Amino acid sequence: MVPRAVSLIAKRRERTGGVDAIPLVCSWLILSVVVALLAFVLYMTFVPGLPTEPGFTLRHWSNVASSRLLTRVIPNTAIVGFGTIFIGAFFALPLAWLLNRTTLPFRTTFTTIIGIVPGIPGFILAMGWIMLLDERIGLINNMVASVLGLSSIALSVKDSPWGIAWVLGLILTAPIFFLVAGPLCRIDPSLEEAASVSGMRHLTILRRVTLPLVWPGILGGVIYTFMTAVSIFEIPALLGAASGRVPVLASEIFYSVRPGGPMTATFAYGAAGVYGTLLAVPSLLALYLYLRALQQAERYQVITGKGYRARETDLGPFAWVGMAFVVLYLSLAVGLPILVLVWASLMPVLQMPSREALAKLSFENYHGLLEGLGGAGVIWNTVLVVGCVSLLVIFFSFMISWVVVRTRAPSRKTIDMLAMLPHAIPSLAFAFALAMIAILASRWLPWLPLSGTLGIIMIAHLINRVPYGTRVMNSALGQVHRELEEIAQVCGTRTPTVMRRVILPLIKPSVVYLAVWTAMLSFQEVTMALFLSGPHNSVLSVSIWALWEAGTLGTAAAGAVAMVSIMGVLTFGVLKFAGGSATGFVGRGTALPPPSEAQ
Amino acid sequence: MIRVVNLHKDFFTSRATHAAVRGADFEVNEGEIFMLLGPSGCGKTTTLRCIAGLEKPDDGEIWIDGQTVFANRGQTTVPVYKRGVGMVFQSYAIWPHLTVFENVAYPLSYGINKVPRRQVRERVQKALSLVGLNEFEDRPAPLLSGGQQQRVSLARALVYEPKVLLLDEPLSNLDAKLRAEMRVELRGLMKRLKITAIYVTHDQEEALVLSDRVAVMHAGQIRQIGTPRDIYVSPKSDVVAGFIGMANLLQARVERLPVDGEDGAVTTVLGRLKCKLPPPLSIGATVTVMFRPEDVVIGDASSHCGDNVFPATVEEAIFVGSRFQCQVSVNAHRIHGEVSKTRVVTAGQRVMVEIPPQVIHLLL
Repeated sequence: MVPRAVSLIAKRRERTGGVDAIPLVCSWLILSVVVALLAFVLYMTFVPGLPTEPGFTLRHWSNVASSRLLTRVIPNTAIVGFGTIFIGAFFALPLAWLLNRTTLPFRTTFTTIIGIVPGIPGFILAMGWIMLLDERIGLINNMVASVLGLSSIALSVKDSPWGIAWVLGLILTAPIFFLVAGPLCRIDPSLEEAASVSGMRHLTILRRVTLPLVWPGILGGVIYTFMTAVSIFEIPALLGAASGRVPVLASEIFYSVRPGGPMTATFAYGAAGVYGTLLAVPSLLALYLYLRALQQAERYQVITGKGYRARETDLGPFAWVGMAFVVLYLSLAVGLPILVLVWASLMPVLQMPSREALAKLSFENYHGLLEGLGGAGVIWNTVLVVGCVSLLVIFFSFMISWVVVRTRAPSRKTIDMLAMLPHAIPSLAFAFALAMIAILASRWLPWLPLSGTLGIIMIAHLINRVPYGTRVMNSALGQVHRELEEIAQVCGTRTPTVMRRVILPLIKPSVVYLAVWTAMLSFQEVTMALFLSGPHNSVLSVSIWALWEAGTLGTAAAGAVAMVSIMGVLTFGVLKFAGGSATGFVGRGTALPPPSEAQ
Repeated sequence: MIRVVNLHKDFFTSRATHAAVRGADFEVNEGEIFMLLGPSGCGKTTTLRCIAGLEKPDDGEIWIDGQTVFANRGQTTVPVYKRGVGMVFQSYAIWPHLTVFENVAYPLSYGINKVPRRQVRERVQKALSLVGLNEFEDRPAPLLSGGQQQRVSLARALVYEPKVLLLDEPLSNLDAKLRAEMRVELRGLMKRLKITAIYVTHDQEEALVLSDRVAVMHAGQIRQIGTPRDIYVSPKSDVVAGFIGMANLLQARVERLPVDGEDGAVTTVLGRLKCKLPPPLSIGATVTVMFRPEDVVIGDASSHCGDNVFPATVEEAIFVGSRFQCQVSVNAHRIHGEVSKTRVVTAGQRVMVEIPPQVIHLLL
């Protein structure tokens, strides 16, 4: 009797697609959370106060017309967004050409360094830049002032949307660089040679052939940068939003839900929902344009062929100009800010380098570091978040991509679109929705550990990383010939075995890359972790942020230096370890896909 | 051993529905090498994939070894991994992350064909020796040549001794010489193992050399099933005749029925042709006559006149090594012919063309 029932169940499973249901269920699980959270953000905009209270109001929306929002917040946000694009493209486009299409010396090394830039926490670089360029404490200001004999130089990265754009632009150069570099080095050289044979001059070729071919890449990079720039919180906050001088939409959301800044003293959940929606609308529009650009990219199939070696321009005597440009960018984006942080971490009080200052050098700030950061608990929290988020992102991205790339599930197009959705929605909106749900949960479902736990931070990170994870997995799985999987089934193994024994080993380089990259980004993430922080779920980045906010610059700088060092060691270690056994075959094309997110 | 009944499979694209297989029916006997032959896009690979279980048919029934593996529009379906077939793909589908040994050992190590670890090595070595690759066990699979990868893929398909072997254009990625060698070797191997095989190819020569029976597919339908010789000598339709070998096809009208052992005759653009006519035809009926280029006798202009002999001009003569392939025009109509390499023909030359009655085949 029992075997019969079992075989009946087995039959039904086979009919409904059997084991393939697992990836489908996993995909819908995560994606329905995404959709529910977004719906919740919208819902919040019509509720007077907390969602637990009754009532319905349009007040939050009518407040949009307030003069402060229209004359200050939105213009500031626009300046930050477009300014970042401008700065980023200014550095990224020449860099992409120099490092991919010319014979510049040390190209590989430079490319590796640029690849690591997004791994350095943005707020740490912003801290460095404040120490460099600030009317009061800026080292550059003081240096120039003393040379010119002035008391101070009125130039600062603080308290101006342009300052925010400058710092964000330097940080977000890397994603634009990689998005453009991909197509740039995959262009079939014969396309350009054909142009050159037909008598076009060098610059004409660049303008008429090369640029149109990499246009989708550039557009994608630009749109992505804009979306990241307007939804990032911690850098504007450091550079003037926290003091209320340069409010942007991201900081408005933050301080509406976590009052304490100088601007808001009360909770304004509905308003936060409205700001979140306002932020999401241009992002969604941009996502639409991005997908359009990608479709065009598919039309340019010629540039995705493999095995080409793009033609390289010999810079000749001008090589040093190119070198100077690359070095300039690297010192502005990494060198100077990190150097100044190292200097600050060794000083009791930030001051100009001088003989007198050198005498004060000490490791004082490092001694109390662990305690200042909040003890070993913070380190353990950080390790847990980074590790779990990495694994979760790989698991869910793999399942989603499996459904999208490997099955003919009718819902796979929808699943792919939904997986991209968090890319367009600012991370702050998800953090907001999660924070709200945590508040509700603590009231209605007290047994559900959400509010102030590591779990809620992990969920936020997971949702935020899934779009990128699925892009990496999609392209990795897309490169594994379908027949490699089919023959494994014919050989008598079921889907889970096929995944484990055939597919995962084949895409291992991509998986390792995704794991390391995700870990790096969750390690340095502040916006969501800070938004969702409670007394017991503090992570390293949040602690450093808190130290800076509290005004203990020396210890904060020491923490920042420690964080960057850990990051560097881990990244190099893991990539080296993985690189050894994971070289070659299928994943080569995706071994280093454009690290298109730097948040 | 394998039975396919009224198989239907449509593919949906964003624009249209495309019928890949439209009512395929055939049966493969035990130990037989059955060939699905047809131009690309004719549905032969889809049919094979339906048998393997990699595609889900829209309708029809499939039996393997007496067991229904697909019926009732998918109400009864045996999943791929349980069908117990072996398969070889055109792309070889060798797993690049595994060595030759690991590739062949995979079916025995995991899943439904799992055997105790002790036996794995022995059986893998046996399979590798069948295809002559014993010395390559520890070689990473991507470091093999195309022909060797092909053999690995065959060894992997044979190692778990499947009831049925499915081959999807396994030789078409090899160069011409190796392909010709592998054909003979593959047939020898399959016959030695007495394996039942369905083999998909678009290469008619492969079909003729390798198979016991051939099914010619065209536009999703099976047009004719028979031994290679049957198909070659007496194709039933112009599509089959045109696909297997070169064929001269002419529209004809019946002019005289055969009487007292004497041949009948038809009128064609060439003129009057004497030939055998099957009984049910009546005078005036239109038929298509077919004859092969190698059966056309091309003689000197001075040779005799007679039945089925026409004066012609050589339009084109291409030397292909063993013979000349010619096009000659008779009454301004071109026909294909062949001339032995011992004679030299050149374009413009006047010749006599004879089409012996016994080589003329009627398509109804």
